[in-house]
Amino acid sequence: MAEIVLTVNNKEGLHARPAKDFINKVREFKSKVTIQNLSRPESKEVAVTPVGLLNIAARQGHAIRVRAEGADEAEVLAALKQLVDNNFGERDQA
Amino acid sequence: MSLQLKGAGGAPGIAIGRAFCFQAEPAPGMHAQIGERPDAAMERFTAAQAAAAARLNALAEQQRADGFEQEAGIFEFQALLVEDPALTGEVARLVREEGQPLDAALSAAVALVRASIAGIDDAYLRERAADVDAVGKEIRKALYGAGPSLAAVPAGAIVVAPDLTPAETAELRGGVAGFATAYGGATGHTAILARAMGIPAVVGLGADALAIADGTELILDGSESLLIAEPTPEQRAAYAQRASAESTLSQQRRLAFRDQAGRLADGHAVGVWANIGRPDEARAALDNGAEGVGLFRSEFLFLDRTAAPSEDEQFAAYRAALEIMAGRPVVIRTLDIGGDKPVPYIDMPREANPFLGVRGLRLCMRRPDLFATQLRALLRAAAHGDLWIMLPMVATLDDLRWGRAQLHAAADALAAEGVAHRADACLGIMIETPAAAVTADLLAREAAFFSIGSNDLTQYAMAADRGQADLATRYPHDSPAVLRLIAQAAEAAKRAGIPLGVCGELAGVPEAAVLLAGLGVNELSMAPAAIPIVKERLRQVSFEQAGEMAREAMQLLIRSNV
Repeated sequence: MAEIVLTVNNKEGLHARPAKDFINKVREFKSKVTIQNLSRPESKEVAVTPVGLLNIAARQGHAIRVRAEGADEAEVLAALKQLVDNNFGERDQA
Repeated sequence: MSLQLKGAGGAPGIAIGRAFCFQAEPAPGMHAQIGERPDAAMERFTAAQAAAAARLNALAEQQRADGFEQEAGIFEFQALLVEDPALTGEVARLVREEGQPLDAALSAAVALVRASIAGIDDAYLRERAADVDAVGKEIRKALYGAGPSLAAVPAGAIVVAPDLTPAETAELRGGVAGFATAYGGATGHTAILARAMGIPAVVGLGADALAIADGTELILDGSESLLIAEPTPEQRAAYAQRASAESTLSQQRRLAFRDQAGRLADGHAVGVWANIGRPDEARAALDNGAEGVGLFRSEFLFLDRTAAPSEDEQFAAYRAALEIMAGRPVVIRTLDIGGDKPVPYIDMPREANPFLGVRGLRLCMRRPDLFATQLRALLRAAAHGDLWIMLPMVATLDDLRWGRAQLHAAADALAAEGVAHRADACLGIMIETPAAAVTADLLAREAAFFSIGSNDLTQYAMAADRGQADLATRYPHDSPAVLRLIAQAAEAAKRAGIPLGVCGELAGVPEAAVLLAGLGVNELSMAPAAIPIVKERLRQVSFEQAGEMAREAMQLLIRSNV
């Protein structure tokens, strides 16, 4: 198992298009991926699904921990890190 | 066989075309299939999920093509949510293990998912709950069918429907000849929007209208509130001739009065302004000779979407209207919605009496965050023209003071942030509650202007729901009770030296416009299409004559139409 902590810096947070991109990125890989919003202590570790992302409601500035388990766990985390670090390609930053 | 139906009002003009019957989405539960096998139910559910996802993706594409990138992303995410494993799993469990009908299972599963994220005191999370609701609605539509889309209405058709929502009416913008509804009164939102768009309409025709078959030949006479099905050749010829004559006459009138100021025969000035619902309608207002915008309903920015509009989006819309009006006054009404027009991202409790509930300014008191964003956008836009800010649903001086305090706070915040804005934009109120009308003298000390919302003022004064056609006919807006309330507000405005406008439907009815002018109203605001004919009528009477007519109307005890 591998894990990584990332900071959500895009304006919209992990919602709408960024959430869609995040889910679709995970689906490109075989590993099982879970996510937890460290900035909301009450939020649980959930699977990367639409309802899961709604539940953790990661906004701009929140820290998220992503865990992956499977043959391509390192690759999926690297791909997700790139996506988040590039602010999902958002141009308009607050 | 020719059939004639009489309605309760609508929008003037003649339309000749074929019927397009539009049925709204069926209510949940209507299609529950008793005794359906779980396998068959789940098969239907899976197909509905796929259809809903496809529709949401198509909507996203459309939004993106129109330049609404953020909205597109929301629809794309919802398309994924439609097929979420948790939602699917819960529906399957309820159907297979508990033997529930699909309809009930879907409602329960949506409620469960929603409950897992709602209830936390965080606006961001509440907006996410709206995604879940939207998804439930889309699946339901795919399951039961939402009837034909209004976008599919053939050009030149006359839409026949039980009633239409504001969103549905707005969708009618292109190419529709007219529309006819079974329910709703003359001042319901359908009729108001139709007038604004210049589309002939008849509302409140009664259930008989729903028996009209698709494709039936129709003549719609909005001025007489008449709908004729399968007209005789004579009727067809007569109406075709009238339609052509009316269009020539109204064109001539529009050009004749476009550059003329509104005034009475003796020169007494009465401004003739326009009501608009979107910035681009300001162009139609100018084309028809509007001297200002007396009511810009800001609701269009808030309805039919899943998240509140941003400050920048609002600023751009307000500024666009101001720039089109090129220095003429533009009265923008702050958010005026309530429980009758639920918005997914605002948590509104179900109310027994939404028109007496948390609406207009009261809703803004519950959601000061939404209100602050709007006020900031308004103050920023105020630097680009003559913007007046108007508060709806004011009943007490405290209401007005609360609004002013919020406005000051917004101005202070903008100043502290160094954002360009105009802090001294004037703040006025709608007079639409009888409470405001009878205490107008107190309110006039602190309001910069008044604008009578005669539709709601009538509804509240007469205790008559304006959406009910028979009540709306029986208790009209020019009743002595309403006119006396207006006279009271006019007197207070005059003493305080503040301008008084009327932005309800009454202002756009030529005969009523004369009465209002006689009561001392300074400015009448109406659907752009009504401006030329009102200007024409005002020029035929002096201020003294108009005053005499108004005094007489306030004394009327028996109405001829009862």
